[in-house]
Amino acid sequence: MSKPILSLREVVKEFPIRGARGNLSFRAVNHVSLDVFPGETVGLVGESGCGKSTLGYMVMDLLPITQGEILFEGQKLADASKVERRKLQAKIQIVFQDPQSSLNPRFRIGQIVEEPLRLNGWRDKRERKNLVLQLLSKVSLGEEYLRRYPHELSGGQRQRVAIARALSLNPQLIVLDEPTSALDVSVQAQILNLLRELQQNLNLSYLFISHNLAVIRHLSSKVAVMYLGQIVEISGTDDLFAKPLHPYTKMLLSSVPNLNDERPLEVAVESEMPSAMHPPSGCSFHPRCPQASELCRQFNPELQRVNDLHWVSCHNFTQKEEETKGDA
Amino acid sequence: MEPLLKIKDLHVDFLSYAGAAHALNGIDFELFPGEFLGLVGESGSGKSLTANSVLGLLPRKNAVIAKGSILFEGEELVGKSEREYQALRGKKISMVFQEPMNALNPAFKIGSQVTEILKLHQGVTAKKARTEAVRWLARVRIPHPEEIMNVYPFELSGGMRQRVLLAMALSCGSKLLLADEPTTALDVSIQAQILRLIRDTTDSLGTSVLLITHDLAVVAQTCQRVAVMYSGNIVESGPVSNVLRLPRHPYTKALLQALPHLDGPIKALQSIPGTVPNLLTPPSGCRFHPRCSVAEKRCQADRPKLLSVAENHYVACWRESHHV
Repeated sequence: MSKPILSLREVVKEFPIRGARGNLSFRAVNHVSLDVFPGETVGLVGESGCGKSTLGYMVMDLLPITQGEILFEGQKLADASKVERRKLQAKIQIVFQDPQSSLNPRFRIGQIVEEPLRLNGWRDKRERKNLVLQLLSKVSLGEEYLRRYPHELSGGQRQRVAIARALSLNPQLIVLDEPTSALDVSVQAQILNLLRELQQNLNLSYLFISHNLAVIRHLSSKVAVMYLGQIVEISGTDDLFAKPLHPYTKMLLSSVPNLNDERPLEVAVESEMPSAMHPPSGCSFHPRCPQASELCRQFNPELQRVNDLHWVSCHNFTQKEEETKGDA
Repeated sequence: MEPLLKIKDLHVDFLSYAGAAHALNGIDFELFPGEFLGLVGESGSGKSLTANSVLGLLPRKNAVIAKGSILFEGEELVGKSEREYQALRGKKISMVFQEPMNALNPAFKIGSQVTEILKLHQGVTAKKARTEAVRWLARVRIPHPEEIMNVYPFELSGGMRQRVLLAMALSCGSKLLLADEPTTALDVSIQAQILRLIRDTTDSLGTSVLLITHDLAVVAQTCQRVAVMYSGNIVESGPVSNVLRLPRHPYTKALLQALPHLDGPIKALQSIPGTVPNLLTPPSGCRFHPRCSVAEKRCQADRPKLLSVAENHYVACWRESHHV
């Protein structure tokens, strides 16, 4: 098997909170390990506040990590010199949720896509312009867009510009942070198809962050489910949707409205996600878990192997049980 | 059965420096007592505008109801004065909005906001209003309702705020609840809770619901009937199972093919070419024709009417209904 392009090892992110009641810290990401292989899409799914975007920002080196390490092509980003770091960073790009705010309203589209080239040593103006045109055509935007401003474009077109900008430095990994959440479904379909096509043509890897399970399923080969800063289950996509093992994954899947289902929605759990400021003891899901036992209240479970691709962190999961189920 | 709400040929125009934008272009639908109707469409299709027209919440400066009628319990709402609307809002027709934080006043405690509406519409004493309010908060399954009466909106989660708004909307015995994207700002597990709650409480009260959403999957699992909007028109309406399983309008079909699914094989998504038309210069004839894969000549020339194709199933498309 090839080497991972991106590896996260026990990554922790804490945000300090200074307040009247002393200095506290808030752990947004709690010992997360994850590998992304060349050409694959890893989906990161979870509800708001679970730490999925924070993780994406750390991969992008937009936030320093508190503990653990992030390796890009086996190289530690934190150890690299300033020059090397810049080169590494060029290989990892990001597309944000809202293209309205991620594109400079005072730049023309041509300038927006050209900017990364200009900053990374493309000196020749004409060459830059040619590259920009090529990039725009990759996202199906014509030459006429060069001199337009972001406000003259629709949401879907703006997201295409953001993608063209992310592609400008020939990245190997793109972090997609809810790239279609602000778009209507007909436009979402265009963008998802475009992302898939680009991945095939350019052999890109994606770290795809979304709260939308159907979208995640559509694009990802592997999915990690996050809850309160931890990965609670990680698996190949088909396996996860067909046979979710963690109670949180099950709850999430049963809560999503399904177009092919006309029964009233199930409410698996009536409670809400606890505050990450005061995380529960033991397994962080235990207050909402229907199967929680004393063990769950006291000890945080570790990720257990189900098969090479499928791992789950739940005390109630035992390999044996799984095998007998498989036989039946 | 008499419909509770009957909208007939409703046209709403926005006046701008560039001319009039025909934002609602003659919509017709009926809502029956106790019914759960979904109104779906993409942004700018006019679904929120429809709800705002019913409640008389259109901006007075530049929006006009150019034509048509809105009958509620047989009474004409178009042309009512602000004072008459005030007697109606929150009492007979109420609304739940997308952003519960914006719908609650951040400077007042939950208790005072929930009792205010009871005092206004029911004319009860402060004490009675308070016990009523606590009862309603409990009914929308807010834990420890007495304590919640004394907190400010910012202290509550999005799901809890939406519960408070639902309690306020239903507390005066509304016959009609307009729910405008009530769960769009919420996480899926909370969304399931709130949708279930809306359904359970309105079921037991016999309240009709007009659920506005962009999510067809939400409609599939909550509504009985659905109306699909495109650019200020209703293009298809009918029982949920008919419209979502056997869509007849090209737009509905395209919308369904554009959605990624939770089960079944993963196929390339079919996107709809082009963009939503500019309302200042809408296309002639059927407004969907420039994006439609099966458009014919007459689609450009004349606007198709919403006609029946099956029992309770209506479609506005030249290819579907008009040659029957």
